[in-house]
Amino acid sequence: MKKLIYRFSVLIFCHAIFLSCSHKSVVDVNLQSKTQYKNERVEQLENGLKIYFIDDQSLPRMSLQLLLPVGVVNESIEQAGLNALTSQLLDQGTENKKALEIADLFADSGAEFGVQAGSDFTILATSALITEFNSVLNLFSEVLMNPTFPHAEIERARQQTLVQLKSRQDRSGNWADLLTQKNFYQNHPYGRDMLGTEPSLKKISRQDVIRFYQKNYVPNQARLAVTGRLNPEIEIEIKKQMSRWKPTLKFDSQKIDFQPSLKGSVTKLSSHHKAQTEIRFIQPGISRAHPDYLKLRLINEILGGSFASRLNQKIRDDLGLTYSIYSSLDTRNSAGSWGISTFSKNETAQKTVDEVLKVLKKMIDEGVTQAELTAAKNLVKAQLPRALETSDRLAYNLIALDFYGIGVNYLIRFNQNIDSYDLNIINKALRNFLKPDQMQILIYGQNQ
Amino acid sequence: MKAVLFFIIALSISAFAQNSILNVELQVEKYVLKNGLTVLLHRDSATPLVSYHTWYRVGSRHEKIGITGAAHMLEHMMFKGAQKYSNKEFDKILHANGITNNAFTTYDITGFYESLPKDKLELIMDMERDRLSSLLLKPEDLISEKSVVAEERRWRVDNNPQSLLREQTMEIMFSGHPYRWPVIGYMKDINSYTIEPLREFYEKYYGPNNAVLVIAGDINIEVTKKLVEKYYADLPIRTLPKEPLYSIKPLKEKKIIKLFKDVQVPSLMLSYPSVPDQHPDAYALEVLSQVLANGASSRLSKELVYNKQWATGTGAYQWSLKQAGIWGVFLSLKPEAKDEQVVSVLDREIFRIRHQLITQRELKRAQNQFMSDFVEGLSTVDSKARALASAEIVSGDYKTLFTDLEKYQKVTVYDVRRVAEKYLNPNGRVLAWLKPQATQKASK
Repeated sequence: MKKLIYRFSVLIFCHAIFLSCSHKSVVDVNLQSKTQYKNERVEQLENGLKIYFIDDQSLPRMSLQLLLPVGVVNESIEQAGLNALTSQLLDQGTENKKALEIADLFADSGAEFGVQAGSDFTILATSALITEFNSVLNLFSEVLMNPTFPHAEIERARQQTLVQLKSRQDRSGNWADLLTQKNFYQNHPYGRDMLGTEPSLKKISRQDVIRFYQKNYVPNQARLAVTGRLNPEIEIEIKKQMSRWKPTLKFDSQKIDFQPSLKGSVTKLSSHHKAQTEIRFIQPGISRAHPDYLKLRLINEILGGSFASRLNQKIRDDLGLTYSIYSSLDTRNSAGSWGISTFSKNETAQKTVDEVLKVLKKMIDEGVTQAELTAAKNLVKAQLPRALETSDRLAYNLIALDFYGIGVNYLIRFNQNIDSYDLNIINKALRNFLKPDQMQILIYGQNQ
Repeated sequence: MKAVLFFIIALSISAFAQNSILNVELQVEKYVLKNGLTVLLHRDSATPLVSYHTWYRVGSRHEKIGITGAAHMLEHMMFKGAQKYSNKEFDKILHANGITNNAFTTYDITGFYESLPKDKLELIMDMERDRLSSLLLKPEDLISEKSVVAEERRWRVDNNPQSLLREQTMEIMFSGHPYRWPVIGYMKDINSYTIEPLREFYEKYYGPNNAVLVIAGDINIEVTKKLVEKYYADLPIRTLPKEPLYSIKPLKEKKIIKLFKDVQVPSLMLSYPSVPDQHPDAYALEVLSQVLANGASSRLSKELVYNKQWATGTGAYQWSLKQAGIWGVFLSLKPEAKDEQVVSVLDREIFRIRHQLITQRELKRAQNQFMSDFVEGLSTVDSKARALASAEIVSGDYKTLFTDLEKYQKVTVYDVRRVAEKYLNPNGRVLAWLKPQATQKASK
């Protein structure tokens, strides 16, 4: 790990230089302890696109991950689902190719075009064997820059999405998650289903999709990570293709403030799933860039982050009330939440809720112990090499951190920051942030 | 040490894949201790991590009626303490040392795995040896763990109609064989486990001669070998029971299951008896799956999802177990799709693939996908350890991980037609529907 920190230290300075440059800069960013990663660096094209090149010779493959700063936050409530629909339609027709032709060409190369539409950003990704990469790169560029959004494809995608929305209720756990987010975020876009609603989907027109694409699927603040067996020819080709992507005059990523309710509540909803009750707790949390993020990660680890956590030991191991219980931080660009997720048979659902509340109260009353803190630090620090183990994971971390305005210093100082938190700091953060009285509890089961 | 073998696998796929220069190298040291423990070591120092996999050749196949799910229950009890590391301590020690862990049970295998910082190797060996040699299996631990597993069954199966459909399909496909019951077991058995049959199961099957140990990551091979010797060499060989010979009743008719549940969207699962692990036809059956239903460019996706718009997704698979296999298709349907129309398209596409050759382009596409998946599957230390353990325990030779890829490349369009004709028998299959409750009356 020392080696890793040293190399990151070099980067701090370089990255600062990079961020101060607005055009065509080339900076060396030596980011990884992996011996096969070389010549990692960031370039910014004149159209604003940042390209992260990470050379990884370990396997004969290449991958592309493009982060577009567009998500649910960019949609109006009347057009909920517009971003997911737009991203899904990119590979459904271009100026030169029809949907099935594109599907065939990706498949010929053993590749897929993956889309992950989120609340703050959207990721487009593909990967291929090195021998197939040129054709996959051409296709990737084509669907990114020249989609035509044919009427028939919009209708097809709309109908598919409507069925997907219906099927949401068929998995009670997923449905409970959506209900919890909706209750917590109320009218904020974070509370919406990414896919939208039936009425909103039915209203979206082809012109809406085209306008949304033209406004938001632009290079201005996008980040592209290229990983794999790089060589100068491939890099030149990628830059050449991406330079054709036309920017808009002005692009502002969307950030919408959120004031969470500080009032706790219990909502009981009936589910048609008969065997088990889903239980969710949610309270206000923090945004991803909040300075206390790492402190809360440590506390979360102790509360419900692993098999050895307090919730798991008490609710699962001692009481046998569930098969799975965990707590998690959901940190987004503008806000975040802290939640607990579990399930139990209908007869013991209320007992499970009561026991979770007891665990929370005990933790706040007594604080965490030194032994728990030491263990949590060890576990969280051990997660860093796993998070950066592959060049793809490293690339994803870099573009996401950059999006949140956190920067690579987060990785460089990760262990140092974790080690700097003593018991007092953590217990103070615990009492500042963990608020059982602000928990919104959802009990979703039969005859609720 | 009984035998020390040293292999360097350098595979050039260019020899059998046109326009491909895939060159993957994985250095593995395999040896077997005197007590029969198979050990695979692979050094990859890219990150300061070690992946530690201990897999046993035991699964729900080794159970009998009345104790269904025992292999899985025992997997849970392996975390409840042994002589040195008692209950609660196990997870806490792992956590305190930055180690993540989990386990799984299948019809044929039970596996335990950890991801650890490289300086914790000896600790994990001590802990794994402890539970392999002196598991406590205390009745009081079983009481709470039975509740945990009952909740797991409710979550995985009883509250999940797709799993219920799978459970019913397996009962028909494997009549007369232990594969017919679910890995997690039936609820009545879960509720009535006692320690004795679990202890018997543990003593029969959790021996070094029934296990494969894979250690991959930032290790020193010589030091690791000494540690393996220190912690495992004195474990006694277990006498493995002779497995009864089961005969699976051939499926000679079309069976139809209709499961009406409170779901919004219907689905369909079509299953044919096929071949077990290591059968030479498995490779062509997997190519067949790709061509017929996997991905947007597959035949069924084009027809049912894109053209007719009766489905939202299609998939197919060759599922190879140790003693048998299933070839199946899965369709997620739209609520308005008509059963007979869907089946008609499905039958037409299956008829086509049984009687006409697939195109060279379709074949090449499937082969490229296998190559991509193979390469992606070697991207982390853990995925490499998992792939090695799986290949070794399934075939007895981890090198099949590489030779399997070659076998996919050798599949021809004629092979695909031949296996389709042989295994996709229209008079020996199970068609299982999951349908919204509201449609039950109309269906009757």
